Amino acid sequence: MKPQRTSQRIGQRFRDDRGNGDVLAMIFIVPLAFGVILLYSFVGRQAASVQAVTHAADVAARAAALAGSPGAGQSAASAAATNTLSGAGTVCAGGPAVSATATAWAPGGIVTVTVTCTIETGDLTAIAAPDTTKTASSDAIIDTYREFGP
Amino acid sequence: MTVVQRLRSDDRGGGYVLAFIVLMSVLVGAGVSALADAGRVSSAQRHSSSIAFEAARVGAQEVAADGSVFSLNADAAHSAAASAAITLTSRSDAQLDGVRIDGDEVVVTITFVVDRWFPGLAAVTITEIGRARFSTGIVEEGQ
Repeated sequence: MKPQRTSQRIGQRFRDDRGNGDVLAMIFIVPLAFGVILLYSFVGRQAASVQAVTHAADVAARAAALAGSPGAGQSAASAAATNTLSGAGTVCAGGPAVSATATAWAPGGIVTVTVTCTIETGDLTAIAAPDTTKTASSDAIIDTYREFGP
Repeated sequence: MTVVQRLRSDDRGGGYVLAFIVLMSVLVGAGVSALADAGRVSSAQRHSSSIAFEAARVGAQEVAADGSVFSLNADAAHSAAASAAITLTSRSDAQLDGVRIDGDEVVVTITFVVDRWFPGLAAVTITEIGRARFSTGIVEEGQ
């Protein structure tokens, strides 16, 4: 076998397209893989936040049902929802919006609490993840035997 | 033949790219569905549990008084718990499965059918049980 001249070797290297496909694949696959991971992160966060908001509504409804008046019920519901979401690690943009209403603030009355939370996705801008709003409602029944008043 | 024409006419690796696109689509779709399903199932579990305990709590407050002796009025407790459960489940997709009085305890069972987004998987039925015990004279937690 005759030894190749330097110019021949350089020319051959420029004509050689072996491995180009791998480089191209890496250029596309790596960002795509990161994108998929971020997408999973986004969806996972949404799933966790749905669960957290539902749980916060349940806890807030029970807390409101233990209060004796609309004002106290609203305060108790807001505090319970905020603490529950905070404990679950769910961050709501501007804090959760909580509303507490009741068929009657008396024994047997049904207290309905609605919790709305806008989930921040500011750290997922790479996939242009939109902020999403989760809402959950829950009911609790005011106890028959309880004390009302200050 | 220009470079662009050569690339257009070159179909080497076309099958590989197609297989990659299909595989990625399936993986992404399945992963997203699985994550979403997990959240929805967990959310339904918590909500069903909350309804079951609320209804059981209502039932356990039905008191029968015989002089200074108090006990659980089983019939009233059963109907109160069932009524509360029906009211609460009517506001969601949960369903009342049954109410049982076990001594001085009211047991409410709630079911929730969650359709799965994951392709090929059947809907899952969640069953949550709430218990509340009739008690008197509680002056502090733990008694």
